Amino acid sequence: MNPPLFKATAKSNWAIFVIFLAILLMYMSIMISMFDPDDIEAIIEMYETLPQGMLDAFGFDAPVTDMASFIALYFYGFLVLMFPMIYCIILANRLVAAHVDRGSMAYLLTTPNSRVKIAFTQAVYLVLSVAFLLGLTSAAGVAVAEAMFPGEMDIPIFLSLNLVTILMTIAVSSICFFFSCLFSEVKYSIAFGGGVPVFFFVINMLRNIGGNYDWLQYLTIYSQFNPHQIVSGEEPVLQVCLIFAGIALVLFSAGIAIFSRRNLHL
Amino acid sequence: MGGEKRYHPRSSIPWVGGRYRGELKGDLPHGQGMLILPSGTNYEGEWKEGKPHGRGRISFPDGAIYEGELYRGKRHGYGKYYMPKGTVLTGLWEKGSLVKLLGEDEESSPYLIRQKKREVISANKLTFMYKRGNGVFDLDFAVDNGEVFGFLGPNGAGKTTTIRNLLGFVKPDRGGCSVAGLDCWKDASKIQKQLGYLPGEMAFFEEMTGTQFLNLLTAMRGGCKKVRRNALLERFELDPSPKIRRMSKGTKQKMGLVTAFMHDPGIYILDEPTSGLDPLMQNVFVELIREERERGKTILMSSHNFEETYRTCDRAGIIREGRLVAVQDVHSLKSSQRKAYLVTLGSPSDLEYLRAAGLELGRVNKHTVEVFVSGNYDQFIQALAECEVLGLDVVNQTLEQVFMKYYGREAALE
Repeated sequence: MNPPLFKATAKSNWAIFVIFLAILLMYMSIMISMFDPDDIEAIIEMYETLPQGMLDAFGFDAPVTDMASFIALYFYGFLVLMFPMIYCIILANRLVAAHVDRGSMAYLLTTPNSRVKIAFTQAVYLVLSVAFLLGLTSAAGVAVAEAMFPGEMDIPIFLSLNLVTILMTIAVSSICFFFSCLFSEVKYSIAFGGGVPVFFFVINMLRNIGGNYDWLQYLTIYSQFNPHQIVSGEEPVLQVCLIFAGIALVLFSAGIAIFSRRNLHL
Repeated sequence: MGGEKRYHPRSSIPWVGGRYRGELKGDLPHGQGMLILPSGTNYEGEWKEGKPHGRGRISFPDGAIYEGELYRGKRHGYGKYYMPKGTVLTGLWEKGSLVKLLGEDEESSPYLIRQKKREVISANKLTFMYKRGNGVFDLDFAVDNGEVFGFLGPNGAGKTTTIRNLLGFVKPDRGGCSVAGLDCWKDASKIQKQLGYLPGEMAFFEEMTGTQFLNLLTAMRGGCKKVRRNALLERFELDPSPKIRRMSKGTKQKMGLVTAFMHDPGIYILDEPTSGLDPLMQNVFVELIREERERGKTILMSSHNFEETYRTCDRAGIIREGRLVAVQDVHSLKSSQRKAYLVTLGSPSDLEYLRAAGLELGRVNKHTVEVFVSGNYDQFIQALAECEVLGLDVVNQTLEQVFMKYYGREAALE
């Protein structure tokens, strides 16, 4: 970990962070404000005007009984998979592959810092920024919910849902980071670092439709993430957290190890 | 350790080129300036606990005399003393310690000492191949301490590839290379502590200002003297306040030079350092290289500019298609035996004759032809005897032409 590099990385990437935070905060507030404790049926009816296949794909298929399950269904079922995923793809690519592709990595390596240290610093930034992005979003969620519908939200459940979400997104970021370390050219880093998570995302949507696509769940890490089960207490939260943390640990370590050993044509 | 050992240990006084001029007076704080007494030394003066200690006079076996104070180092064995503040001393130094004391008369003193040669940068059968089959093959060369080594070759010859190996960016397929005795691949980050590197391609953190970038590198290096950085900025007339993205190519090059030189390392590896600089700035650069050389730094610089190499380097390695074809003293490279003659011929058929005679021809005009001769004078004169020669001039050779010897006729004709 190299603090000056961390600071510089934060400085050159804060704008993306702010944009994604704004998007997530906006959707979160809209979702919560749409919640009407007296008229859940009306919301469900509204969604039922949409084609069934589309609702299934988005995972809007579970019964809504309270606020946490409402948010879990309509916010964590789709938006919280998609936006942080895009954030991870963009950021991970900028953290390593873009420096190698552009050649600015040469300057970082002319300082007496090992490649492991430099890659590790970038990985720490990625993990922390993802944690902050979703941490702030969930904090804002609690605040908005308490302000608009005091007492309606089951906060411990909501926070455990967010913990799983953060760890899942860190696992996704580790995939992006791994490919960012593996390739020297941004086009490949984006193609794989972006392609794999997007593939998982699409597979997850197909899986939600059900039927013959059930076997697909073994192909995607998103299948480990079932917001509605977490809310209803059916999900073994600790186990899921460990799975995501394990994936992240393995892929971050592998990415850093590969980066420290491979040839860099700077 | 670069030119580092030419410096007195723990002091910042430069021993320029292994040579110490002037007095060691008041500049060294007490406790610095280790003196090693050879056997056969005679001492008269104050003693303490059975050892010389205090004011005294030392007569060395070679007749040199030291008069002054002496303090025995507490944790050193017999024969090692510290000279206190105010000592007047002239002598020969090696690896930071005094090896021979001399009289104060500069005329009679063989001041210049021969530093033990050390290979600071070396490549040993260095081979690195790209997928397309190009690369560098079996490179063997060494750059000694205090030497400026030019790495000459056209684009694509393997200069940058060699430098990538030296910097530890890529792992050699076979063989290896080292800088300051450290393996370039395994100890890349340790080497950086004493290395200043200028990349061939200027790629920065475009969104930063020049100042922010310099601050970042300074911080990542654990800090360095602001004075030197400012002096370099002034020297290159560089204003680092604008965004790097807005800077011109030449300005970016200056930025690169400042980052390479600002932490005052002992070794420099510079990839095409003058590209993009105007002639005035090129002179500034040459001057800087000369100064650094005087301060005992070791420098390797790649170039395709012969004039620049001639002006700055002691030796040059010539690389062609990934192989080192020659390593030569720059001066002998310049006065290489190969000469060019401008021959004015009577008829076009004579030109054909010269060509058929197997001579190496350069530029051809209507009646004049440039002929390169390296040792084969007999062949040259016999061929001329068969022709109608209207004029014969010696062409003043540039390094470039000398260099072309290593690149064959095709390149020379370009």
